[in-house]
Amino acid sequence: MKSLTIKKLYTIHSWVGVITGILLFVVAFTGAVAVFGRPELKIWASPEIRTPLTLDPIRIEQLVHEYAQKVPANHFDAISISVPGVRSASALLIRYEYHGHDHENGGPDSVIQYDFDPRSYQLLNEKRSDFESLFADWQYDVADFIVNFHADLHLGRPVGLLITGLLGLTLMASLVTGVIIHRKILRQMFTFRPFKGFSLLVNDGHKVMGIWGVVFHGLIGFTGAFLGLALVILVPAAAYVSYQGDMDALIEDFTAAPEPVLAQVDAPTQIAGPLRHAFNFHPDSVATSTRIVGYGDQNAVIYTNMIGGPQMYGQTLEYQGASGEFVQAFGNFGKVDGVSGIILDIMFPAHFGNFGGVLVKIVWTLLGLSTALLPLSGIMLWLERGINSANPKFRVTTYQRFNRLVIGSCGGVVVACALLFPIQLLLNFTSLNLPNNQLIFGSFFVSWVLCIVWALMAFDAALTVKWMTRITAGLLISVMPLDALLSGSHLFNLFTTQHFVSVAVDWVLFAIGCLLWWLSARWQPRSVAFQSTKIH
Amino acid sequence: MIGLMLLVSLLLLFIAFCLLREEGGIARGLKPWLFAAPFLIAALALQICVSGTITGSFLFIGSVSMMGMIAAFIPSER
Repeated sequence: MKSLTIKKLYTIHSWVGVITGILLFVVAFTGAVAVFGRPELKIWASPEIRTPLTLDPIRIEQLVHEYAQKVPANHFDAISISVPGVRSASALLIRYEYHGHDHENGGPDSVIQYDFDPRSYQLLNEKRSDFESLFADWQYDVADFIVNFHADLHLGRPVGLLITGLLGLTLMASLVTGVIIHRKILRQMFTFRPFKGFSLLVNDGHKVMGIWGVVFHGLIGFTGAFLGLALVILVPAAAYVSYQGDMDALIEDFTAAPEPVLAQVDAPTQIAGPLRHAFNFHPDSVATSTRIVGYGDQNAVIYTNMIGGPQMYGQTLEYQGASGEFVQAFGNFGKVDGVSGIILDIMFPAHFGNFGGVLVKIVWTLLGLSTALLPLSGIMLWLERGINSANPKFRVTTYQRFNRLVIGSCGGVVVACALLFPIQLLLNFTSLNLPNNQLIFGSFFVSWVLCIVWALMAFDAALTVKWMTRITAGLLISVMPLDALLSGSHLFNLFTTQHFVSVAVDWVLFAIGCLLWWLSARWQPRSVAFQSTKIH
Repeated sequence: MIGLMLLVSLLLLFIAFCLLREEGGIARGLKPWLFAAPFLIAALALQICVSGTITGSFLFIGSVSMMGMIAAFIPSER
């Protein structure tokens, strides 16, 4: 390839990285944490489900029938049951839905949701509202916050999803240009010289993470772009072209859980049998939710969503409602012919490493951290080369200011994520009656902004990094003793409390904290970008 | 089961990449590749046999990325 073309691609690679690098770090870092968001962090953040649960299908069936007597008869368009401790639910949720059959004239949706304690089956809460309001006052915990922040930066649809989707595309563009411009790819696959200066450390680190992780980063970029852009661009565009803009019709055609044609003949719906079958379907699969369509009708159908199991993607189990008989198991896009349906089904698990158990999640988290470090090391490399160039494009102080912005933004998001853990413990285990969402959102964004301001104001960037790392380490180390003190849950009573997941989370955070403290002690960058700008 | 298989295959891949490491780059001669090939094939076969073609392929992508990176992060002499 001509050297002029390579030079142009190098310029594109540099500027795409410099412009999107900070945001890409933020999304990739929170993504690496979000891999363990559900169920591990969800269980850690929810005291009521820290001890492993065994749900009783008969009791759930009784509850569905009992509360069906208390809701208006038009609220049987669908009945949803959310299993606690698997996805976002921490209580057993039973939801009776009315889908407002006059949507074209603004007919309302209505939902009545009952929250039950998953052990005693006592009613905890009742909500009556439309769908939008039901989720508008959702009480976020650390798991929900980080998972949703990764998905749309809490900017909602369409802005947040567009941003994260476009970041997936820029990641792919950076990978393609990076591979083309890196001409010594085979000769430098195992080159890492950490003791020969900061510049070589960053240079080799960037190349090693880029070369070895190229397929993984590409996978994350592609699936991330799809998951971000599907709902806001791809589905509306496809509906506009082929369905006269009717998105519901398109979704119904593509997804494999059709609405049954009701017989208008009364027949009691069997719920316990299908639930029992789903709970025991496969040793590695877990039921996340169940949906009953046509409750009380002879043609009622029960769909149960499963994750895990022998195949990579989630499955839906279909049961005949009146008899409770198992009909079939299929993927969400089972209706789509050929490999396309499978590709659509594996998008989500491939992105989040949500298949094959905890070890796969560990691999995905470590590689996700390398995806986060890739733009950061790229920016550091750009700063090093810019400052040390014979004809720098900008003044040294401009490079140093930009470096401080990078430190504040990227280091700040790490500090803010670490701060959420002790905050969550204070919310769960103190009787201070603190406002949940305000504290979670406030502590995250305020600490992040403070870190940016601190980094921009501080003279010594190297010292700022050292102290940000130490603060993060201190926050993570504090989680385990704080949890033991406030909740009484610790390693020594593990077999009594059976809090296996939450104690494991405590110890992993403790280990990461110790590692960060050790790294902070060794942090001595010999780089102009990190030099103190204080005038003596 | 997948966890145990993954641990074994990660170890096999690490050995393979250590065999393929040559002066900061990847080996160009035939001999290191002949030694490493059984480990690479065994790791892929193990992952596909235990978890199926699709899951195994994705596991292999992740495993190669991670173990390659770890092998490459061993400081080189050059």
